Amino acid sequence: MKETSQDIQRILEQFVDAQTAGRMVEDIQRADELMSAAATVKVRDEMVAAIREKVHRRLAARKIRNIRIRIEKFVIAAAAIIIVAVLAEVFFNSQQDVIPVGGALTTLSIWNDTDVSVLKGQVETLSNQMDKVDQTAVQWLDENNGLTVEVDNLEEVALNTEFWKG
Amino acid sequence: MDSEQLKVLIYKCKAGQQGAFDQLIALYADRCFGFLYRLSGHRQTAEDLLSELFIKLVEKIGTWDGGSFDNWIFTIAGNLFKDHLRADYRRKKLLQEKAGQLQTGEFAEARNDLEDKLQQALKRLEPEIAELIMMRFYADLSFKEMAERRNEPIGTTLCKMHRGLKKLREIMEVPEKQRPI
Repeated sequence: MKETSQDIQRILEQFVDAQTAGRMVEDIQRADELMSAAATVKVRDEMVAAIREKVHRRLAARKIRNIRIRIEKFVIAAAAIIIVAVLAEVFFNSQQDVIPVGGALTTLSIWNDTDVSVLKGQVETLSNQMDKVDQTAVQWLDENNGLTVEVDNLEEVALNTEFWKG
Repeated sequence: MDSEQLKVLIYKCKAGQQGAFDQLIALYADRCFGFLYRLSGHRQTAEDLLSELFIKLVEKIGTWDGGSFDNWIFTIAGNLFKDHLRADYRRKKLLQEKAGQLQTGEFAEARNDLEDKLQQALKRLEPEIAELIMMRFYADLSFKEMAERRNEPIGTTLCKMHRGLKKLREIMEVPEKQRPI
């Protein structure tokens, strides 16, 4: 907002004496009056309408551009997320594959023939031991024949009486 | 419209509301046109520049920082006029080079269709001073705001303005024959 004459006088008095400031203010005031008295120029209504139309078109274009920018940003962000996710999955999967396979290959040495023969020997020993246990059991049953008959009888009684039905 | 209402209107414009821009055009079209008309002295040029100003406003309104909107919009208008002058100067120079006989004075005279007293007086002022006077009159800026815009002390702006307005007054009040050469 423009200063009043008093404001201008006050400002001018900081640089010149009061009398000169007064004259300057008078000059400014008179010039302002002449300016105001001069013919006012107005823009034609058709021109305003044309400007409005141009502005509307530009606004519509700006809106479309903004939407496109937003979509582009969204697509870029989504693509970045997908790429990161895929890379992370690939990385973790490769970590899981590499460690056990590497471990198995380095810790188990079943790939040479000497190790296979050792294993075969161990399996054979275990098989012999199981046979021995079987033989011992059969031998014990033969020696205690009465007990096996008694067990058979008890099983038969149990099946026939159906005591479990209450 | 007070400054708060104007701020609300500008924020609506920033949001891209068509109606708000219509209001802004209604509010500033005449003043900006007067400013550009007085500076150029040519209706067609002023209309072209006015149209360019509002188109530019659509793109630049987001950069308005909340200061004096009048100062901001008239600064853009002033810059557009300066750009126009530069382009006009280049065009005239090119025409002169091509044609060899085109007289710049006649060309300028033919373009100037606003021949009232004020316009004649403004033509006799330095362009910088003429713009300053127009800025004060049409943008309704205070000396303080103008000094800030021009990055100079308020005393300097006041002296330039006084010199310009005094000359304007002399030209407009004193008849041609009595005017000192």
